[in-house]
Amino acid sequence: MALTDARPDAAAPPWTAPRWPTVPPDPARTSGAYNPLADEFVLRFGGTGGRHSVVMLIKTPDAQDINVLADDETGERIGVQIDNLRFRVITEHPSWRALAKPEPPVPVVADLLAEAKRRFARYGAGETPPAVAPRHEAAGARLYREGIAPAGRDRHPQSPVAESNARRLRGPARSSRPPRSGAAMSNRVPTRLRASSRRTR
Amino acid sequence: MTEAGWAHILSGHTVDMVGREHLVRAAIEQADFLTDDADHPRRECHYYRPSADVPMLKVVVGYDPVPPPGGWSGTVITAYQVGEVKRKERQRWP
Repeated sequence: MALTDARPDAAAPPWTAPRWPTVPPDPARTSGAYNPLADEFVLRFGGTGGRHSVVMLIKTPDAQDINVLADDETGERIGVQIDNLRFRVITEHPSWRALAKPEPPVPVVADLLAEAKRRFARYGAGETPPAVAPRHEAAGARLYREGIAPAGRDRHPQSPVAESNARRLRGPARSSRPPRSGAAMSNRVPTRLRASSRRTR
Repeated sequence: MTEAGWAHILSGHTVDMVGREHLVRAAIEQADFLTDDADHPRRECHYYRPSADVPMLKVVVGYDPVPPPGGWSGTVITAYQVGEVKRKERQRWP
């Protein structure tokens, strides 16, 4: 007798198909954090602390600024993420400016949840679009598996980091930049990027 | 990267990213693919999947010119797990 896997799409991890929580999230029991550098607001529902999340894009036809956090083990939606909050989203939702503050008002959070739910219900979120990511991921993975991917600066010949990395590798003195002033830059943490030391040949 | 800087960068994704600093570094140095940010011209998005059964890690890096002319400095803007790539991001590599 032939054995078959009867599970529905057993190969697909749960987070690829996020679902709405069975118990609607309480806006008053959420926790939010705004990252000013990324202009990114993340809202996690109450009781979801400690659960790892995956940002799943809602398939809206616009810029995909409002997305959902899916539990990476169950697929349950456990939060919402907004990209470009001040850059773009507040032009459509002016009251959401308050989300950038430490304690956003509950009505604003409720409005966000309602909007996210509406978008989620209308457009859905889930599988990686086959036309983009799998092809790129597969290409990159294959190159590394076969050891033919160029490493370090050669990997991104058009990238600014490649030029910077190459310069740092060539000379003993690292390029430095005078510190900027102002609160907006106070949290910037320069991360020294260097070319990978892994050389494939 | 300082602890304060790390905490700031990952605000909102702390639970997901604690203990995964090495993956952020791997995403920067050995990304599976690289895109231009959909909205910010000097930002690049590094995508890295440690293994086939886990989500991708997305690390957004902002670049600023630094002296001497032609030099660039990178700053990690944010990092988190994602299921897919934004439609409007333009592929840069491979």
